[in-house]
Amino acid sequence: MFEKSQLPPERFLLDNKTLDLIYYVSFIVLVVNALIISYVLLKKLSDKFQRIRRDEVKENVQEFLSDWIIRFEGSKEPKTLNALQEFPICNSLKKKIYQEVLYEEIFQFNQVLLGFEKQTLKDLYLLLSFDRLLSKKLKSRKWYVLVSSVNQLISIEDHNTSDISGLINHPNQQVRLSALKAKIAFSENPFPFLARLKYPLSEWEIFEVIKTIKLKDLKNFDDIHLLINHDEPSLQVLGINLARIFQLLYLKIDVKKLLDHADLKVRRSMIEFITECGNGDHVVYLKKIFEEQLEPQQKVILNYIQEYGCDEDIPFLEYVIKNYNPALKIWAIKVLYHMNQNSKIHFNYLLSSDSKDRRKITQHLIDNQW
Amino acid sequence: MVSSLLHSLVYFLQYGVLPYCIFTLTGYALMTIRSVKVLKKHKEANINIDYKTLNQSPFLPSISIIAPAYNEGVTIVENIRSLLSLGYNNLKIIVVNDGSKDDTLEKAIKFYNLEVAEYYFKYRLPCNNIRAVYKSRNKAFKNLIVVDKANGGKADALNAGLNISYSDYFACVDVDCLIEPNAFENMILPVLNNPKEVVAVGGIVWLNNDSVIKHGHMIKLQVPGSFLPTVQLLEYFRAFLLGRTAWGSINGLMLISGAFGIFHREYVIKVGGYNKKTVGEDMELVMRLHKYMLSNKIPYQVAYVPHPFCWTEAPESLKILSRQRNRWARGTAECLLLHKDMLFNPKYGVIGMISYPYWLIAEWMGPFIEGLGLLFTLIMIVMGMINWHVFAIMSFFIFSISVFFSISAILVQEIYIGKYSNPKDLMKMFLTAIAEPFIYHPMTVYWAIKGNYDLFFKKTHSWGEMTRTGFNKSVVK
Repeated sequence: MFEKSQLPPERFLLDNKTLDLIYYVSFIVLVVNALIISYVLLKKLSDKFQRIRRDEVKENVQEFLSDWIIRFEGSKEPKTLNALQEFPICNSLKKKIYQEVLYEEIFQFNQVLLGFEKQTLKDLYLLLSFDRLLSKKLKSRKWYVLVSSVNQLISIEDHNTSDISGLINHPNQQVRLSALKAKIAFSENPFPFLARLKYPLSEWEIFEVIKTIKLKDLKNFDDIHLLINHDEPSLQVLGINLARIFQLLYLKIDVKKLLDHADLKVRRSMIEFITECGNGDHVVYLKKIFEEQLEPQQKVILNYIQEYGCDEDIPFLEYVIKNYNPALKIWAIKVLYHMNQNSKIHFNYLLSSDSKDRRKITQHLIDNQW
Repeated sequence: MVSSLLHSLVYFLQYGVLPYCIFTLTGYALMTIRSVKVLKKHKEANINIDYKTLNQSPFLPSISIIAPAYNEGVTIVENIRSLLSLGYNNLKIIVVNDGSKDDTLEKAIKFYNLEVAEYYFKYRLPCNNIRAVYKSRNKAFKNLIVVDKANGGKADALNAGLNISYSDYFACVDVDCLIEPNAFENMILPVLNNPKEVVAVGGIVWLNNDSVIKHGHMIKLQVPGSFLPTVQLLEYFRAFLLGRTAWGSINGLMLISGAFGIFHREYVIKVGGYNKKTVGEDMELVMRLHKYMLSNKIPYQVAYVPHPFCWTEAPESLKILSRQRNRWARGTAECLLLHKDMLFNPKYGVIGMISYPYWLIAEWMGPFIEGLGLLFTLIMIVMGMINWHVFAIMSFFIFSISVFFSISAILVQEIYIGKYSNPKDLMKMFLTAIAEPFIYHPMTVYWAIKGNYDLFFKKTHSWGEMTRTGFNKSVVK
């Protein structure tokens, strides 16, 4: 089709053989392009039809679930396969799509049901051997399948299906978190296994663990010291935060050791703990270490002073107002306003101060209602 | 004589251009493979996140949105409303009126019932005079702060906003951008989940031309009707989905779009804020953050969330588009020059050894090499010396490969993001991908070369103006 190369071969890097190869490669790429276009468009259409079909099945399944719950309402009749055959959907349940949708919908329904109705749904789940399916899914190698399965386990409150202890130290963070939440939900004393965690917890995980423990109504916090005295800072943060949230005033904690901890988050959590659960014993020490802290820790120390400070601390607040960055200046003036009567007088004095800067911060504070 | 000279030139160019082609194509291929992996992981990870719980977290860092506004009178009320409707729990909105010549400020004052407030701040970062800080009398808008300052450009306005902000993080947002209501919960996740200091988080910016928007919310997303915005959308697919996703995963991101990104306030102040002397202030800031963290050996991450949370309006006229691309080219060149000490410097890790060289060769040099190739081909045609056999095969190769990357981007979008529900939209994108190499790409090459020419020979440093038509243009409901 084309005229062959007119350039002398020794002057041209690409000889005719290579050019032919490029031509074939380009042709293959073009075919791949066409295949991708066809695939995307076909997939789009097939998704559309599948969605319509699934919506139909979902509607039938939802109707069946409502009927199932109503059928056994107030009845002590055992839920058997014979009872299931009374429902018109029974034959359709042999189809894969029906089973998949029913499995998903049981967990959806389960989220909004309570008491007897929830139990009726769980009985259906057991009757259809979905526990075995869940157990199989919990052995999946795909981490997201593991996460959703563990979440389903928590949702259905299925303590017996599978031992999820192995997942607590899973390399994937999301799996670990789900397994942790499940273990906490099913355990009477979560602290010993929390202390055995091999991975540090992120702030998000700490928040989730605290939230799950709060939902549990735990009575026994004796083993919390396993976390507070742990070598891993994130577990220490978890322990200290739990101690603060549950107001565990009786705990014997080496406050100074934790205030001097190398990890900033441990220090911050400790200051927050003594602010909420301690006494005014540490004002002098905290003022001493104020300089070497970062801004978030410094703000927490100022909060502590607001809670336990006295007239003697007013010069320190003055010093902060004079020498630190705007955010801390504002914070210190806020402390001055809230600390006690004399500090409030000092705050009012700042309003009429000669220093335009201080007057402005004070006014800012009033205007922004901090 | 001329013929032998041209033959020698062909011989010489081969040794420059061929390795360049291999380098860029390998780069694109590796980035595509890497992005697919990251996007797959991101999609799976997102299935189980409970954003409602996240929004209640006491660990949620505070964020200030800093939105510079210049001559945005047509859209300012709607745009502020859109920002105020964001769901994040710990959010302040700082709109900086950068000395607008129109009624931007007056409209904001009137609609949001603003009054001058005593607001304490220090000029921690250099910026032009802040004339007043406004807050609303209406408590429903208590999170809104409007700053009026003398005109100084986008970087100057962002620095002014930073002086006003007291939050842990700040988000730079173009005021005309539409942000998804759950954008910040998503964007803050890398901060909560990362043991290292997360100094910045980037996200995907996409185009909303011809989509249906009502009261600052996206009602129906669709591919733009005309060719120019559609082809830009295709470019955004490639850049944000395939390119930045891959760079973000290896902490090699050099650019977080100025239209949308969040940054650690204190670190940004520590590195001196936005650079007013460059038009690529977004890229320059990220490079400076990398430099600061690596020089001080602080473990850090410049994270990237591969999901579209921000929608912006693409230029629909060639004149405005050429101005934008000219600015981008100048910005890239300025940033690379400003930080030339990072090139192949092992001290700067991935940035010095991979990202910077890639940007230099593929992004900055690319248009010159392509331009040279086009010019050379034209000369050969004019002189009747073109080897049509080679020309046809090479053109066919370049066409099929460039279409392949565009189509891969569309495919990746469809599988992992799936924002466009109408098959017609995808068909439109495919046709645009086929037309792009012939119609649009040569223009971008020209604009990039022109941008560099303007920077080095005409010493142009200005932004140029963008005409906004506003969200309301798209509203059909």
